Amino acid sequence: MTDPSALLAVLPGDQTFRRLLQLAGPQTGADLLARLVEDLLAVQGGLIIAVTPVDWDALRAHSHVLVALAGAVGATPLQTLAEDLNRAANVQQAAVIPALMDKALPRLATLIEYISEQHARPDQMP
Amino acid sequence: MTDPALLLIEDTPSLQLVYATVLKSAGHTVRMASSAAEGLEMFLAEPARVVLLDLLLPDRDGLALMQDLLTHQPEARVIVITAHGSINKAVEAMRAGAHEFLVKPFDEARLLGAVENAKGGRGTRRAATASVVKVTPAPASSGAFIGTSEAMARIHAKIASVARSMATVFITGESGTGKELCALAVHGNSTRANGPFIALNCGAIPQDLLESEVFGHMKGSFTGAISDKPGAATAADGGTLFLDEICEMAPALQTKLLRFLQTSTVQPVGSTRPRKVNVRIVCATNRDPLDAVRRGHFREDLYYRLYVVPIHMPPLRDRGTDVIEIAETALVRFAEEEGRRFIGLTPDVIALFRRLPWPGNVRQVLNVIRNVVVLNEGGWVTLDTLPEDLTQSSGWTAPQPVALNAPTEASTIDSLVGMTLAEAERAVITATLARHGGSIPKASRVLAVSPSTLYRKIESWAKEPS
Repeated sequence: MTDPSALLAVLPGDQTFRRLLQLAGPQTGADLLARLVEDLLAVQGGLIIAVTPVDWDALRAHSHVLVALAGAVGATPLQTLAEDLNRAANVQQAAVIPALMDKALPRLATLIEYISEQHARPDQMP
Repeated sequence: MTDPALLLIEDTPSLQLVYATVLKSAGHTVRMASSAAEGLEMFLAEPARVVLLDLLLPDRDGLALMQDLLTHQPEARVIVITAHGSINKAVEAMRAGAHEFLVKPFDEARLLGAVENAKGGRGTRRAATASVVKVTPAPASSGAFIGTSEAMARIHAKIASVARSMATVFITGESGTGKELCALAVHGNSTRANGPFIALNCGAIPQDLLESEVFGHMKGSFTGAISDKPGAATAADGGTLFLDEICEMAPALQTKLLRFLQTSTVQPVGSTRPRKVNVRIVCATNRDPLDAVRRGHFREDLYYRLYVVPIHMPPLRDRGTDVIEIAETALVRFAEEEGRRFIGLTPDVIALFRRLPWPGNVRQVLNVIRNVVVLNEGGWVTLDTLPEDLTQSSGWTAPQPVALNAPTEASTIDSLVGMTLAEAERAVITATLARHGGSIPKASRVLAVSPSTLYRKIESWAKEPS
């Protein structure tokens, strides 16, 4: 199960996430969770590949998607990190990339784990 | 009659579903495409009046696609979806004919607002009344309702939940936080959205004219009354009457307002016959209304009649990174208006904006960006392009180095251990106040609470038995 303290650092309040699932309803909600996990996994893989060695276009594209995904589910701290990564990619500021990735990747992993758990427990959905 | 379907062109499957979910929940019909080619094919097969278009698509530049859509159907309204940090793309899109732009991530209210606006379903009717009675512009042109912070999410949720009722809404908040936009959002989301929205600033009208402005007058009822004039309450019939700076209203008029609220009738100055009106009241103040009651400036019965659903607009310093989103959105709009080409904010400026306390709130950010756009030709917004007095006027000072090796008693964790939580809180507040020369506004900024919270706490200590 997702570590609650780690989750708190990613999703400080889950109102946005809950609201989204409520709007979607059970069937679309399950589909939405599955798609979110797939897209977040794609971003995770894309980011890792984009920094070894640095491919600015790929980093820009994947961080851009992460900004939107994290924002859509209310994962504000991760969204802010993704924005910083996207900004660094835009101005090709290599020095800050490792530190930002060190912070962003564990949080991204936590978010994926949490959403996967929600998907595995449809009875828990609002 | 069913609304024509919106066309949503977005390549990330989960985002496509997120946007579609929000739109469908608001009653819109949505067709979805995952690429530029698919979007164009769907549009050519069945043109849409409103298109939501992600500018970053895998197979083609979104701008080029938008131009094709508009060539085929010039009256289509395209809302472009752009990335955080791609302000120049948004500027280009607006110049190329986009109706509106949304910067990812955006919340439910912003998405639905943009779509409603594009469909032409939202708007305020202009009322033929005196110049002091005004109809405010649509919220899309301002920054107060842009932002994805938790604080603003709560405001949006509250507006959505109260808008459809008739309950009186009492909006509080510092100057520049967007109280009038909040009132307009309540009106725009209500069943009265197609009725008039009449705003009246109770603090800006001479007290002897206020009664006539609110309730109207009959020809000849006083010197200068050369014709019958409907007041704001009558002009707002079927819609919303927004009373700004309500705490500035003279006591005599407060009595009349209370009667109006109780009876829903207005009696213009000089008229013998009252008239029934159907008006929803929304009011606002930047003061603490209860404090105005305690001081005898505001009638208690009127306060309880009006203070049904309170909404407190958060100051910008409590809205996280909303300031960046607001600044970037304003940069696009102002650059477009002034015909300048700006790329965006540099990381230094972003870092500074995040640190500044913004005592003038959203209005101050908009003024700063307007200043930058007017005085500079374009390019990046750097620290050099910002108004020189920005840091002084915002009450911001450069962070002082902290003497980590010489902790004071109040700043060490050890000294707090053993205290109750209330005692620790008091110690921290007291130490912060001492460090800032007893200035409550400065201490409240450091502690990230409102000055009124600090006042309340200090007041409560004074009441405690020693």
